[in-house]
Amino acid sequence: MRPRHAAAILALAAAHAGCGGVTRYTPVSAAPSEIVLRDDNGLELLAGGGRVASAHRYQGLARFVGCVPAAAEHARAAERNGTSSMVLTYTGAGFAAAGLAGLGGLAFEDKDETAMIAFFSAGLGAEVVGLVLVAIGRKFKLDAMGHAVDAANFYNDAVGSAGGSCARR
Amino acid sequence: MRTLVPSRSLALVGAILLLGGCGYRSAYVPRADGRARMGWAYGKLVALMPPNGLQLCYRESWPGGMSPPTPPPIWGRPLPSPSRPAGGPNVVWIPYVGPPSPGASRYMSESWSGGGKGGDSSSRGLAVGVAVGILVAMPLVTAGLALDPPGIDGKIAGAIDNVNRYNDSMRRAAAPCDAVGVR
Repeated sequence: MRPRHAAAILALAAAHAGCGGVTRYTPVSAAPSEIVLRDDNGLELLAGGGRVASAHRYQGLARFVGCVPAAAEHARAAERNGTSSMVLTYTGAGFAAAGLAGLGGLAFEDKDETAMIAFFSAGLGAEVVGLVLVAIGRKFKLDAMGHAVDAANFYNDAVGSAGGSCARR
Repeated sequence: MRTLVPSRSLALVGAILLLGGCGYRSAYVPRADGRARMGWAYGKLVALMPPNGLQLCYRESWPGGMSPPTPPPIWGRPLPSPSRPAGGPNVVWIPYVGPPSPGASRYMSESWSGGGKGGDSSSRGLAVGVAVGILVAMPLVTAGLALDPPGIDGKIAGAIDNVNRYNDSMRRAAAPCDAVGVR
């Protein structure tokens, strides 16, 4: 791995990060409390002109759809998975960053091979753990999104699309 | 300095990543109400479109004997505006089969996909170089994975737009059920 390769990976990672889509159409015939989806480099759930919840934690969704049991169950699962995903992602990123300390092994390159290997191994180990945690966090993000979309659908089917809302009940 | 990353660790990573593929499976079945919606299948958002030729008519009921304001029935307000006050009509959308409309099909999912890895040497210097390269590259890969929003991309955004646009067009074209002879 040469510096230019690392630079290319850095550029690719930077270019790829945050490359979600953006919705351009604003619904005009949605019922007042009907949940509609919007993508603004991350999924958002809107109702009545306001944001109900957004990726990745979907906080507030369970309260908004709480009067529809099936929707509330999925909303709670979305919030739970979203919170887990954020904890795993931040922890994983911390491990990955800490793994860079393994580069300290270069200081022992011509002095103490054992120490160098120990540094490198510890750094790589931390980075592998970080990558795995982030990958698992990504799975939780996806699960949270699935539950959130289902919560919105169950809620809309029961009350939202018919002009009702949980707040009026 | 033969193996910096033990093979057991790699096996563990592989197993966890494989387990990560067993994600949430939705059991939601769209109601046949003529509405398009976004659903969840195969670990990603999909558009669930109503059957071909379906149209909507509406019935409304006002709580507590309230009389409807004019103009009534279609929710005609853009989302960014303030929400309608409590006590508005309850609208029931009734799907019925009319003349074929373009672009619609049976309730079926239209999916879009969104959705990568990385030595041994006899030369000590090369091994050090490889180790350093991996040490530098892996956090970048991890950062990319952490920052990239999963399950959503430009195509998904287009699908969401299509669903919202479809529902708007169907509702705007709807008439009272009595007027179109739907009981």
